[in-house]
Amino acid sequence: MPSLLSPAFLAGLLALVVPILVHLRMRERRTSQPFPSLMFVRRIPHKSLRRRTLQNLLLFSARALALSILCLAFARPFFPVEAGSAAALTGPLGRVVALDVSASMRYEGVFPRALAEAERAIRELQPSDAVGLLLFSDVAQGLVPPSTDHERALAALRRVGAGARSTRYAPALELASEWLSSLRTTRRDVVLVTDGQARALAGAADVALPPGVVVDVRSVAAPTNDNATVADVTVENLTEGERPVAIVSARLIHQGPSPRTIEVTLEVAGRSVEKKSVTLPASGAVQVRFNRAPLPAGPSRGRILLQADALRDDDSFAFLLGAGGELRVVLIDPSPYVSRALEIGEQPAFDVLRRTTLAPADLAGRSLVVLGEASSGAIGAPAAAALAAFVREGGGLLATAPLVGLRGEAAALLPGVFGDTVSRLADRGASLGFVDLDHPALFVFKQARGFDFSRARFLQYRLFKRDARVKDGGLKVLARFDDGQDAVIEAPFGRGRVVAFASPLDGLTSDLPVQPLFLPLIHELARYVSAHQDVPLYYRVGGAFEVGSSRYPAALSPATVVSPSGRKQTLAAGVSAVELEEPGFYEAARGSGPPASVAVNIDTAESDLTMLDQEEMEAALRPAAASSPPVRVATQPEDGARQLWWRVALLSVALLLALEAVLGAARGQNAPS
Amino acid sequence: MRGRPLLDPAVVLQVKDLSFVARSVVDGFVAGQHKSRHRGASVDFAEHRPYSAGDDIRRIDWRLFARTDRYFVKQFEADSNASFLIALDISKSMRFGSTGVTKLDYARGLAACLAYLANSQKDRVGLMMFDREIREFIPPRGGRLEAILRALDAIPDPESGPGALALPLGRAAEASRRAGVVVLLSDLYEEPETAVDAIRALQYRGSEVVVLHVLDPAERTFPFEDVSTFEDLETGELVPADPEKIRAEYRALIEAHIAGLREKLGRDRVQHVLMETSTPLETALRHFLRDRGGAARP
Repeated sequence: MPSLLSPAFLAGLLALVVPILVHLRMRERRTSQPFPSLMFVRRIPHKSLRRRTLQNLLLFSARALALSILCLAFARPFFPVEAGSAAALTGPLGRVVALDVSASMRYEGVFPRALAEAERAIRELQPSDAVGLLLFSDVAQGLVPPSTDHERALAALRRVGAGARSTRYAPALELASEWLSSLRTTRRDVVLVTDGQARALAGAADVALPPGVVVDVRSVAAPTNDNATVADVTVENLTEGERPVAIVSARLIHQGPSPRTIEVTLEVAGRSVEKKSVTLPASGAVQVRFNRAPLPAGPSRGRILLQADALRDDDSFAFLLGAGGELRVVLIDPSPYVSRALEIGEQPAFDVLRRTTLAPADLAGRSLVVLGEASSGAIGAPAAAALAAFVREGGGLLATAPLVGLRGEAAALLPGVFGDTVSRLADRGASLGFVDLDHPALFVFKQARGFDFSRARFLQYRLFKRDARVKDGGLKVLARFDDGQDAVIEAPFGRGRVVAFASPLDGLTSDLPVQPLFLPLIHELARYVSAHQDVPLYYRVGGAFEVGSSRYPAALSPATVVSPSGRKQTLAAGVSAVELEEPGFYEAARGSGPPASVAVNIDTAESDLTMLDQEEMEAALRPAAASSPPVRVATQPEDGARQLWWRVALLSVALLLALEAVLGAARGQNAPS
Repeated sequence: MRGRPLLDPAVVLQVKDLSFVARSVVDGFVAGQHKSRHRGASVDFAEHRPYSAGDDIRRIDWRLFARTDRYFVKQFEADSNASFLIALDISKSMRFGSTGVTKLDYARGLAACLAYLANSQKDRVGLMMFDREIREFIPPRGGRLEAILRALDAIPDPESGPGALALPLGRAAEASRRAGVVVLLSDLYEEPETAVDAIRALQYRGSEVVVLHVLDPAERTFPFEDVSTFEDLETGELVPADPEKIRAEYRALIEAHIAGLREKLGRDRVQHVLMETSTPLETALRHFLRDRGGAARP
């Protein structure tokens, strides 16, 4: 029995009611048309009326038939056959087997079923049929392009394993569409072997498959799902005495038919620090807060471990502790104000190394030097050279007092020198007459209220004299005094930056350190000068991590990345990003820079095992195959037959419309002008 | 006339006061439009003409003779007192209208205007309304305008069955005692020969007959679109017909009918004026008077 692909179009047949209603209304009208005298009408023979009625009937029939055929054609009649009877059909079949290798396929027992189903999809083919094999998660990977070499596809299938990425059907359908477009077989289909995650449908409806391609969804989802995972982790960094501690909170999600009690473990630096027994609600979420955990010095790795369930990959959640954006500073400033300002705050947290004299070794692993009113002996010649090199390689120098007395190469850190001292004691101190609030370091103050730069007073400052030999040296003025002299300047040096104040921030020469804006100003300047970027606690699989920093830019040196599984990858100079494909901890280092750890977890969406059954999947993917049904369809030869139906319908409509035109013309000729 | 818009019959005939309608229509265009062609012994001097044998010597202007030494006779505006009969067909076929006004309404308005116009010229005005028979008859007499307008206001219902001209017009001819002007308003749904025979009776006493052939535009164009069953208003007969199919033949037949009437009536020196109900009453009156020679009465 023929079926219809788009039976909704049959609703168009209702349009036939319109002319019938018009006809009936006209009949009613016939009974009541008064006229003064019919002495002339009576003389005209009646036969014309009958002929006209007959003509109208033919005309109506032609139009109604044309409309009916058109509706039927749009409803797309076809002859479905039972699945599995492909062998009985004539003409070779081109098939693409798309195997889901996303993280959710690692649910207990799912992936073996998927492999078996994919193998069956290959073995059921006739020798003359072509088959291609592709793997997909959120990206598609073509494993074996379509060919009649079935054994090649089977061999490739045996080497396949599920990954850790998330799921999307659209890339798989796009690659399959590309492959099938090049095939000349009369029948073509895509066998989608997947667990049918509902979230993965995004964008699939927009993929246009070639005409006649059938999408055959073979769901291998587990009949019931019970899975718990960590959706998110937050870390509160604190200090107990000199010891850093952290309070870790985790949000757990459970998907299952009934509540479940599991053991949750917090692990820091590979050591279990706390275990909790947590009762998870049925299909719900719960927040778990651990006690204060002491942290080792420097960054350390943390994990939340859940009691194992059927999907083990999301039972471990990796994150970083003590490395969440710490800005490492060398402070050479006797002023307590700057020092105190750098002790406060978490965004970023400052790791301050206080020194009275700078040694070259102090610069290792640091990204910022804060230099106050140091004595002339605080920075010796080797230290000055090291400081210059430090800034040239991308380090930052924040001078909270006029830079004077630097020797050697360090003397050239600014394109000029701070010279004569200007005293403004007589007029109660200078104020800031101009502040460049569009500067990246000061932009946060542009929209914030309560920060008034003009309230600060500066009793003394030094005049900055630009070096005439240097054109401008990239010098920027962040602020000027009310007499127009430079108050805060910035100059690039190599790959680093230098920002210097013309008046010391000591609380005596100026009262800026006691102004409300002092703390955020120092923090923002420190962040800007050091080119600091916050480090996220963790990444997701499928994301990208940029290896390197302003001190170790990608363009200059290669980088080494070691994945959680131990796979080593070398990034050439100029390549900065590495794609994260495994959950766990990556280790990345560029040039001589310190290695950095990156915590990676699978996408939370993969833990959502809400599945669509096969029919729902087919219905959802129907728009993707707009010109073909998502059920197995076969006619002989399929494409040709389908086109033939369409053409016959259109030809019939054309003939009927031609007949209608002839009848209409004849009617017009007979009608009076 | 200039500057005064013509009145749409469908609008003006909605006014129930026929007297008002007649005054509005007639006064609007009659002023200065025509005068009586009869000049004679009247109080209003018109002109002089040379004396000729047979003229009444009492009309010789002696003062002019004294100045010119020639005889001139004074001429005056005629004191008209002709008989004017309006014969109005009120048969059922006259109740048809496709333009918002029926032929009967239109003819009634026209009759009122003519009566008013004739009365204003001191003619003796009469009215006859008929279908198959005379339904109302007001003999032509002076000062009957009010009675005529009242009669036109209350036209009786016609008898069922087709209208006919012969009987009522024959009786009207018998009833008239002197020659005058007879204006017949009808749609003339009869064979031309029959109609002309009936009208000819009116000329028996030497009366001048004018036929105002009142038709609805739809009766000439047959504009219907849908296949319909047409009902004869006079006989009630039902005839199914496809208008598109028969339109051309119908038009040819009715035009032939009109042409036949005009030819046969013209042969009897009966004036035939075709008036469609879409034509403003003033225009219809003007055409009527112009066709009558521009100075005909009324």
